[in-house]
Amino acid sequence: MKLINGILLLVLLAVARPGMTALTIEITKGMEGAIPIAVVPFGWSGKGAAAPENIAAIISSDLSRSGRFETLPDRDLVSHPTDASQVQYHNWRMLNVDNLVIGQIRETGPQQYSVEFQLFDVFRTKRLIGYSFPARQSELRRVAHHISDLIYEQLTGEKGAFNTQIAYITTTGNGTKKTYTLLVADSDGFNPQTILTSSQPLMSPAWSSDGNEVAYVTFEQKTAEIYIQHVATGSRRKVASFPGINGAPAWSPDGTRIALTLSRDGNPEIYLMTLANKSLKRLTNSPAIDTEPVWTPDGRSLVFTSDRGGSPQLYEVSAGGGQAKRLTFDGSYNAGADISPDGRKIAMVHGEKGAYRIAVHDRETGLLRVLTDGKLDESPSFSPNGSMIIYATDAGNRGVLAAVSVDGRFRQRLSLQAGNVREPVWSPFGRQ
Amino acid sequence: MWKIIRENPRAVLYAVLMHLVLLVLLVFSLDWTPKISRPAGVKVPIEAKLIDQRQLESVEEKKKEEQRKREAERKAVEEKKKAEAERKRKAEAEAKRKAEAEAKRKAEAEAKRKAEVKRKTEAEAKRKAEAEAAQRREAELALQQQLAAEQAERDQGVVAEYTAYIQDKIQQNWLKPAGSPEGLSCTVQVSLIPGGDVARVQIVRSSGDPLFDRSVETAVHKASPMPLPKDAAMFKYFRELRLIFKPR
Amino acid sequence: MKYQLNRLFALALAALLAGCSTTGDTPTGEEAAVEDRGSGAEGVAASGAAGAGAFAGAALDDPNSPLARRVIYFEYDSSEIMAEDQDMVAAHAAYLASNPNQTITLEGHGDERGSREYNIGLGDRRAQSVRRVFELQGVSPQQINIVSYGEEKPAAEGHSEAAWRLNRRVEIVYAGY
Repeated sequence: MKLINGILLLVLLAVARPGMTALTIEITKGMEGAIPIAVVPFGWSGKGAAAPENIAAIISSDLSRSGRFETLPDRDLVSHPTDASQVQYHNWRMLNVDNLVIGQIRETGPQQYSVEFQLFDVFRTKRLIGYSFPARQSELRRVAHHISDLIYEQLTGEKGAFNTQIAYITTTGNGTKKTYTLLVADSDGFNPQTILTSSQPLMSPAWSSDGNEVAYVTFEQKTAEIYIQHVATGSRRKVASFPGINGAPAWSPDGTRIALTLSRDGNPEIYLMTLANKSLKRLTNSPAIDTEPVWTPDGRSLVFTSDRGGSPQLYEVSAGGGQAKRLTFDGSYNAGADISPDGRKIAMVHGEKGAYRIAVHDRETGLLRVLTDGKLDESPSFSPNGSMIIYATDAGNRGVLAAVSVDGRFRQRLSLQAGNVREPVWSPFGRQ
Repeated sequence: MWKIIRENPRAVLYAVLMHLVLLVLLVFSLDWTPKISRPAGVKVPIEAKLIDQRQLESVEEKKKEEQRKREAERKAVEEKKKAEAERKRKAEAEAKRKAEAEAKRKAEAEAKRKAEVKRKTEAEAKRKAEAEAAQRREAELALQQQLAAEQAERDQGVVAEYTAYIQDKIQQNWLKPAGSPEGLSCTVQVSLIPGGDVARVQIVRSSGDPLFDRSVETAVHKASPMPLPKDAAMFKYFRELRLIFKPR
Repeated sequence: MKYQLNRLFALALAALLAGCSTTGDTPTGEEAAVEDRGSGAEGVAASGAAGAGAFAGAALDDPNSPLARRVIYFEYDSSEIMAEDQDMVAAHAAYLASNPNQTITLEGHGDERGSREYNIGLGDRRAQSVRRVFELQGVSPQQINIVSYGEEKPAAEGHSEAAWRLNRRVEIVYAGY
C-alpha cells in the first residue's frame, strides 16, 4: 500500500508540471457482477388488451438467468418508452442501468405479428442494435429468445444460448405405476414436448452434435438398451442391446460415433461404436466401473468416471485407446462429467461430506470449484456457449431443473411442469 | 655557556673589545650626517677701480664727478630700485599669476578629485543597493519557492487524497466484462467541469477489445460526478484526467 | 490398498470363473458387431419360467421358506453380501442349482446419491456379486440374467438413510413369478 502511495505521488509529481496537465490515475480493480439492464414491457398494437406473449418478461428472465445481467424490476421502471424518440437517457442513468431494451409487438394479420426491439447504451447515449421480426403466435417465445441472444451477444461478446433446447426425463406416478417421459423444451423450460413415454426407466439422453437426434437408454424391454431417436419425426432405431449394461451414450463431435458403457465383457467398460456399421471398439480395461464417457470438443479423447482408484474419479483416455490419466483428486466422489464447449472446464457431480453438488474443474489450473449448494445435485450439462450449466436438484419431494452460471454467481430454478424432473442436457447451437 | 667562555678566552676578549668600540661609536657619533651652513644676505660687490684714477684732476671735477657719480649712483640706485621694483612687481605678478594658475589647477584638480570621489561613492552605493536588492529578491524568491513548495506539498496531499477517492469511485462503478482476456489495458482522457461532472470521455488508447473499452467508458460516466476538493483553486489539478484501466 | 485387495479378489474370481462365460454369448474382442436381441429380450426370461414354475412352486410360494425373501441389501458403496443374508442367498443358490431350468434376473439397485450412470455400475456390481456366489454354489450361468437399474427404480422414496438402505439392493426375480 505504501509503495502504491509512493508510486502515486511520483505520478502526481510527474503530471503536476505545467504543460502536462492531466492527472494520471490507474484503475486496477473493477467489480465483477451482472450488467444492469432495464427491459421495458413491449408496446402492443392489436386486438385484445395485451400481446399473446410477454416478450419483455421472457427476455428479462433469459438475461437474468444467465447470471450476466441484473434486470430492473418492473416496479422501478421510471417510464415505458416503446420508441426511440421516447427514451430519456438521464432517467435511466439515475437508475444506474447500463442498458435499456424497448420494443413493440404489432398484430399484422390473423395469428401474424411483428416484433421490434431496440437496445440502448444509456451512459454512452447510443442505440446499439434494433431489429424487427415477423412471427406466428407459436413462434413468439422463440423470437423473444432470439432477441435475448442478440442482446447477450452485443453486451457480453459471447454467443447467446437462449434460443436452444434442453432434453430431460421426468417421472410421474408412484411405486409400480410410474411413467417415465423423455421431453424436449426451450432452454428456459417452457414449451415442453414429450418425445417418448415408458412404464420402465428412461435415462441418459444425449444430443447428437447437429441437434437433430437424441440417444437415450431405455429399460422398456426390462433390460438396458440404447436408442437413437430423431427429435422432429419421432422415428427411432436401436443401437445397443448387449447383455448387461448398455448405458451412458455420448455422441462424438463429428457425429459419426457414440461412446457408451457396456458390461458385455463382465464389467462396465467404455466402448466406441461407429454408427454407420455398429462396430465396437473397447476403450477401457479395468476391473472397476468405467462409465459416463464424454468427448473432448476436439474429439481426440474422452473423459469418464472410474472407481479404479477406490473411489469414483474422472479420468481421461485417448479416443485411440491407451492408458487413462486421472484428472480429479479433490474429494472422494467426482463423477458424471460434462466438458465445456471450449474444452477448458469439466463439470461434474462432486460428493463431499454427504452432499452431492455440481463442481467445475479448470483444466488449466487443475482447481475445482463447487458451484451449487444442494445435497443431491446431479447431471450437469453445459450450455452450448459454455456460460451456464443446467443440472438437476432436489426440491424437497421432487427433482427440478436449475441453471447456474459457470462462475457460480447466479443460480435459478427453471419453471417446469409438475413431475420429478432430472437429467437435463442442453442442445447444441443448431437445435432451435 | 660558561664552559664555552672558559674554553675560548680570546674570543671573549675580542667580543668585549668590539662591544666597547661599538659603545664609543654609539655615544660620540649620534649624528653622522654632514652639516652645511648657508651665509645669510649675499650682496653683489660694487666696482672700486675708478676712484684712484680721478684724484689727479680737479677737485671740482672731482666733486662734479662725484656728484654725477652720486647722481648716477642715485639714478642707478633708483633705476636699480625701479628695476628691482619692476622686477619685484613682475615677479609678484608672475607669482600671482603662477599662484592663480596653481590655485586654478588645484581647484580643478580638487573638483576633479571630488567628482571622482563622488562618482566612486555613488557607484559604490549603487552597487551596494543593487546587491541588496538582488539579495532581497533572492530571499523573496526563496521564500516564494518555499511557500510554493509548501503549497504544492499541501496540494499534493489533497490531490493524492482525491485521486484515491476518484480511483475508488471509478473502481466501484467499473463492471469488468466477465471472461475478457487478461492483460487488457485501456486509457481514456477525461475532461471534468467544476463540480466534478464528466464533460467528455475520449479513448486515447484502446484495449483492442470493444467490450472492454465500452465498460471503461461506462464506468467513467457512472462515476460522474467525480469527488473533488471543496477548494475551487484545486480544480486545476483535476480538469483533465488520464485514466489507465489495467486490471491486475 | 483397498483397490489392490479388490483387484486381487477380482483376479481370483476371474480365475475361478475362467470357464464360465458371462450371461450373453456375444463374441468378445476389440471389435464386434452388435447383437440385436430385438423385442425377444423380454421373452428370454419368460421362456425359462414355463417348465420351472410347477416344479418348484411349493418352495417359491411358501412364505416361510427362505426363498420367500428375495431382496439382498447392501452397505453404502459396497457390493459385499452381509452375513445375515448369506443363508438366504445360499438357499436360492441351492434351489436354482437343483432347478436348472429355472432362470432368474438379478436386478441391481442403488440409492439416489451421486451420478446416475455410475449408480447403474454400482447396481451391476451388486448383482454380479450375487451372481458369483450363485455360480460358485452350482448355479449355471445360463440361469442368470443381470440388469442394473441403478437409482431408477427405488423401492422406497425419500432422501433419508432409511430410504437409501432399502434401495441399495439386489432383487432376485424368478421368471414366471
